[in-house]
Amino acid sequence: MKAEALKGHLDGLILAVVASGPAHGYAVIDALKQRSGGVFDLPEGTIYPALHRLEAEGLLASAWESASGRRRRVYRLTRSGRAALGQRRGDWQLFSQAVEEVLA
Amino acid sequence: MIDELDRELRAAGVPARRRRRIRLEFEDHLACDPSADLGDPGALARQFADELGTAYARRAGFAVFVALAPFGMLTIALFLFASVRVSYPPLALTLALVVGVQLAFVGGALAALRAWRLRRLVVMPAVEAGVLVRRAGLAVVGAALTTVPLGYLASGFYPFLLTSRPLAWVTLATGTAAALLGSAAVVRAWRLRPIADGEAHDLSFDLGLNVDPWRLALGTAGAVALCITLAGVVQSDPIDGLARGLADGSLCLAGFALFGRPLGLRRQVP
Repeated sequence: MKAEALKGHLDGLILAVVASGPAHGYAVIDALKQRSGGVFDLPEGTIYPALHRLEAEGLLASAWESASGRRRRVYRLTRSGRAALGQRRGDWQLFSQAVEEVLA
Repeated sequence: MIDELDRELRAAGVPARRRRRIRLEFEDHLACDPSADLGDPGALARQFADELGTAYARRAGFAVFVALAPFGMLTIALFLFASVRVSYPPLALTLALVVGVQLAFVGGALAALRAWRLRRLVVMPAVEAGVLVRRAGLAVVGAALTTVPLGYLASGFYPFLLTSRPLAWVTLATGTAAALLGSAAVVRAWRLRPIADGEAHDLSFDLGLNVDPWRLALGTAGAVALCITLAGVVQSDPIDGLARGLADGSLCLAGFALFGRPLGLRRQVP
């Protein structure tokens, strides 16, 4: 799926992945691919600006960790992020139900 | 690719500390998957600047309002309930107080309003971010200006009889902290701004109205002039009321003309 088609939903998807547990950038992208059955195959670099922005908005927090001798930035959901995810899930349910009603 | 990304990030205005972090994250990514396609470095750098710059500008709008709100309430309480004027204060201090309070209130309120209106925007145009940061910056300048006469007031040099000197010190401390906190948010947003093209909205967008901003300004100035004139009529001095009403109405319009651009009251194109 093209990145353009995911515009507006990417934040919710990232928050949902990080809600499952703290993850670094590569793990977030990998989880998006795995959980979507390969449908969300985004240009990998584009996830990082979104991660940085979500952190700047206070929805994610991050810290350096060491893994295999490398420094790795690990992201976790904040309380505001959890609330935002709940809001986005609600919005999505409303939206998808409406689309289904129209398409059916 | 990472060196090229670093150059592009620098060109986009991303600060050195943020660039180092991005570099380390991308190196870790490539270590996990050496064949990963991270995308075009130029486009990535622009995306970083646009998304982070948007978040910082919006945060500056909210942060300044939240920081200044307690200061504003304490200042009102101080002048309404805890002071009695015994003579006219020096003109420079009076001007600093009058202008500072109004700049802080108008700038802070408009910054928060625009940030709220654009709360769901992932990327805002550079001009729009500039308006938001200027509003927040003017609010901080206003707060800093207000702390000068407040310092005199708290120190007892000001010709006010304070019924609560501790309240004056608390107000001064709150104002200083608010100006410092607000300026940190403004400086951060000023250093990294989005580079996306586009126009900035105007005052009618902030207020959710579909009116030409100049008409709005004329209406406000007219309402102010009318209220003050009516107050003069009620106080049995209609000529004085009319004179003061016209003067205040003209000042409203002059303020709109003077601050129309820095405060983003009128529509702006790059």
